[in-house]
Amino acid sequence: MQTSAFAQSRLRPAAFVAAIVFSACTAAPPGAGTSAAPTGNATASAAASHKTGALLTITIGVDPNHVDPSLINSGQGSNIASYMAETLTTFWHTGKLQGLLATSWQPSTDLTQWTFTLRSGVKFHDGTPFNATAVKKSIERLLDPKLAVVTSNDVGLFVGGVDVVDDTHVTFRLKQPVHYFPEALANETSAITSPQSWTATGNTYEQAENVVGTGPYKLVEYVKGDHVTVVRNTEYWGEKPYYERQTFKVIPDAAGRETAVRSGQVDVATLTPAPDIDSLKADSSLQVMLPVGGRNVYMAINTTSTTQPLLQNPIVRQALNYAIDKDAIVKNVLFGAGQPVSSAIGSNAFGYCKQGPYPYDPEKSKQLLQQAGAAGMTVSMISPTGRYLQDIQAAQAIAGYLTAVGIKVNGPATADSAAYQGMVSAPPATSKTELFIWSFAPDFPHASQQLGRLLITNSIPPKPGINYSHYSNSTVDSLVAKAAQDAPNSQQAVDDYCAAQKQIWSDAPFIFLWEQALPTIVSAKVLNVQVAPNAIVNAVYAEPK
Amino acid sequence: MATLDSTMTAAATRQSPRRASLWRDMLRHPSALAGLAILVMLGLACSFGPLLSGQDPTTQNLSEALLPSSAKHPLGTDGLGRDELVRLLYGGRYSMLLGLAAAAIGIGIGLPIGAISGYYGGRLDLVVQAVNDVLLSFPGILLALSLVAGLGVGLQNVTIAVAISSIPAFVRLARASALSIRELEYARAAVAIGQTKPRIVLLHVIPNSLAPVIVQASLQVGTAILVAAGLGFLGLGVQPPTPEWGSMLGDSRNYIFRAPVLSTYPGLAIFVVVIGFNLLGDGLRDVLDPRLRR
Amino acid sequence: MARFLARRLLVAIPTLFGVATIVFFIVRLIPGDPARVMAGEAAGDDVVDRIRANFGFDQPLPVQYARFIANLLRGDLGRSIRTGDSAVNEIVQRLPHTIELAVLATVLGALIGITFGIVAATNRGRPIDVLVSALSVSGMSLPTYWLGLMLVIVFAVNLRWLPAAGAEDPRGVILPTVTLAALSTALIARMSRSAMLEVLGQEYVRTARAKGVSGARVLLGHCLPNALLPIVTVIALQFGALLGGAVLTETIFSWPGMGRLLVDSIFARDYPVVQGCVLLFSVGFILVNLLADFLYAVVDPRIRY
Repeated sequence: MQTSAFAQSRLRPAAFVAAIVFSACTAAPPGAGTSAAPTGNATASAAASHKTGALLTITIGVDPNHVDPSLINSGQGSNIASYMAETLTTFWHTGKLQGLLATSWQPSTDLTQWTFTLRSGVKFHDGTPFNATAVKKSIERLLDPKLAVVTSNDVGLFVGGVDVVDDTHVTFRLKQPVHYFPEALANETSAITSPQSWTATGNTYEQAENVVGTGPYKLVEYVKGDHVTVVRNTEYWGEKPYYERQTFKVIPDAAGRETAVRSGQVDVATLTPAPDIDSLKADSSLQVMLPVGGRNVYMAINTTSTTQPLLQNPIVRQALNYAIDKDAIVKNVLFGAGQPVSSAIGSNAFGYCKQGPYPYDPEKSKQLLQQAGAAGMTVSMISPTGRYLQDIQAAQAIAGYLTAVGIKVNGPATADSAAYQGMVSAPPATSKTELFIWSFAPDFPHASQQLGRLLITNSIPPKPGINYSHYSNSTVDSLVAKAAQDAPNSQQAVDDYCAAQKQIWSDAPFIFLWEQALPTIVSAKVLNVQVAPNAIVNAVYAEPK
Repeated sequence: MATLDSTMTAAATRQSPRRASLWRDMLRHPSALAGLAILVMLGLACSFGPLLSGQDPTTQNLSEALLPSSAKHPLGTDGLGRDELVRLLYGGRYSMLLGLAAAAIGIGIGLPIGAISGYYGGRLDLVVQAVNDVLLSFPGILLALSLVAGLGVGLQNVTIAVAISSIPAFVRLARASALSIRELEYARAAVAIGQTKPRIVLLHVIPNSLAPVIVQASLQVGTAILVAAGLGFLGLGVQPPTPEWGSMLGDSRNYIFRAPVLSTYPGLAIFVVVIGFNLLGDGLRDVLDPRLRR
Repeated sequence: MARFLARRLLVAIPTLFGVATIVFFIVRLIPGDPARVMAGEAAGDDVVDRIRANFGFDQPLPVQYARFIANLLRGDLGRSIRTGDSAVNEIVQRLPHTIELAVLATVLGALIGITFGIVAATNRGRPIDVLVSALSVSGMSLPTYWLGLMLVIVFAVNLRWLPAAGAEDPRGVILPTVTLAALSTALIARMSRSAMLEVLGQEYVRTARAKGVSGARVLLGHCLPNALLPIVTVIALQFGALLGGAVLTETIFSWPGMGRLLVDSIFARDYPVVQGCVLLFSVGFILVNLLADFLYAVVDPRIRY
């Protein structure tokens, strides 16, 4: 139970965060380019046209809860829904932003109006045409508070309205200038579904789990707590996939997922227990994928702590960073499933610039603690159990390293995920946290969201955001605000984000730990399975060896 | 008060010959003897074993993680390089104390409530019975699960949750004895000579319901250990780094391929200690309460 | 009889009301906010507040309680916070899986348990009797979750004969059934043995034997029916306990039943589903007890209520 929940149930509905997408195939799938259709392997799709009955099974740890894209609140839901309902833009196939149901887009000069050109001739699974009206209705439904589930996404935050220009052009009016709007639109919650299907059998406008989209697969059944099965859409507008059916099977227990893939019961297992990585690598019937680059894990420091005011001092926080041997933790506790964090944002994000890692230097740590008058200080530590890969194990190891530089550590105390979230999200005035494991997996690999949600003054609770370190620096605030007005993907934007990261790195609101890689195991008999760093699996164009 | 004390002392003295024969009966009873032997051995091992080893159950050493058996670590090490045997022995202390404490609390609360309710009868009894039925209609693990979810995890709260979930069984037992005793000659005689109700409950009802309660208690310790370990297994029990058997078993699932023995040891330990209490309970039943003899 | 059943059903109503009340307040005592869990790790308080309002958690507790009871009387358990679907639907989808396990485990436990009990009783004091007794004490002492893990290690990991998890493969039911049946087999064997011993000592059995009725006929025709009463009781009570045991067994084998739904819902603080599951477990427990009383009357015509 402990490790079975892992991080995934709490992942945001990520649009395949990943820029670095790991492919099980030796050759990366072709078809990059802004307006390319998703492209599989040509020979595979030729075979696909005669091949019937082939089934691919993927096991996931958490029930997706929803497959209606507008209601998705888990990474698994996002993963499965993307097989059936497509978005205007995507990171899905190459890890780089490209068009999917849109072929191109153009912002107004003030970046508040974005016009998308839609792919024409595309039909939903129910035969109705995909067009600008469907886009408008789908996005308006997403923003409708009447939906059965409230989700949080940037599109909801930004979009003021959607206008149909003509059948193949649609304009989004934003409440503020946003230069990464196409990235935000890649989130699966913004997928376009057939408006007619919302009131079809079994569906309501508020909840339409019999999802009817434009994707390469159609829904067969969703048996709650057990599995979701999809079948190939023979009318698909792009390359057709090889496997006739794919099943996502829920096995909450990590060891159970590993057993299933080892015994051949399933073809792909996400999030298997970290300690087995080496032995799985040694098994020639399996491929082990450890994609890094979406989720940074930190030991966050409450920078406004009143219970231990020494933590307000950046020198003390730097000292904590020097005290930890990140490499040893990655090697011995994570069994290689990760790499030390080198900046406040993921290494795959737009705007990333390398700052570290802080070297392991216990002597320097002691010296800094001495200098700050913090030698022999006492801190308390909390950690979730099973929310992140090996979290409590790592917390115990970190407590050990801090003890070694003369700090007295109370804890790590633990709580289950829900209780934990309550503890760390308290606003500064009532917060009792000092050190706590925290992490964020952004929806899309872009500095704006990672810095904006995690490290600006405006994201300290009770304001919307997860700046649970309560880190506040006016330079960082203004750099992040300025970068959002810079030209999309410009060098200026990179420079601004970089300056912000530099400031954050030296202020050390966290003990920077590791970029997480969630182990995913794929049968050696299956090729072309891509895995994002948050264990999101793209096996649409998988094919047998 | 003084009279009460002297009466009780007198009662105790009167009972002592019977006690000696109980011991003899127990030592002659095969399953009681086996259970007692298991528990004494485990108790000694868990009390003194850790002292002999001199190792700490929570100190980790990452470079020695998941080692197989060796002279230094007879049962190998766990995922954080802690000696498995030392953790098991420390864990035994927690499990056994937790089980005993839970049963003691269960008796301490359940016995008087049941005795008073059964003896006094009337509306009080109706209310107590209604509440007790509510609690009894929860399967034990569910009640403990709900309670521990509400109280929060940790050794104390798990003990309390398991104890509370064992109260209804004791209430029912004590109430049943009280009902039967109420109608017996000597209880009526006590009323006739003017003893107050509280005195009767204290001096007659409770002592006379002790036999079935003790039998139940012994079985209940086993159940409490199983339930507490079940909670630990689900991640809702005693928290790390405390070496509790259930949470050790839960943790071990992470290493089911790499080190399956880590799943074997704590489960085996739970199994053996629960067998001990069950055998003892069976034996006690035969010795103390011949009516229940099977 | 009918009056007895009616009275028992009437008594069940306040009991269930009590269960509903207790579970309502207990789940709300658990630290952790379902709205925050569902909003996801990146959501701000604005989203959390909207979710809270959406499910009525922004109302004062007494108001929530009154609503809960009022809806309950109409058979409405509220909407699952995780899925937005009605809690009744969530439970109805999972219930058959749990019933399947519990029924199979009961049948398995009864078959093996009664057989063992008879064998032990007819061979009283012999090694086979001691063996059965030892096995049944062991069965009662086995931590089911550990037995499950060991079965997985042996049959799924090492031998690869059976799937480790899930309900899709029909063979997937074998390991969880065996795990769940262990305890009831032990208890039924024990109860059968002592019930048979009691009957075997009775006059009429000896008379039948003396009259030359064959051993097997005496056993199955005369003794077993008369020993059934306590056996039926223990089977019925075990069925209730099995529902509880399902929590752990279903977790180990990723079985999509009520037990796992309950555990998952507790972790997600999905109040409506937790309430629904606990209520349903209690209803099951009460019904099974009632059924046991009813069976008494059928098995033993002397019993009149």
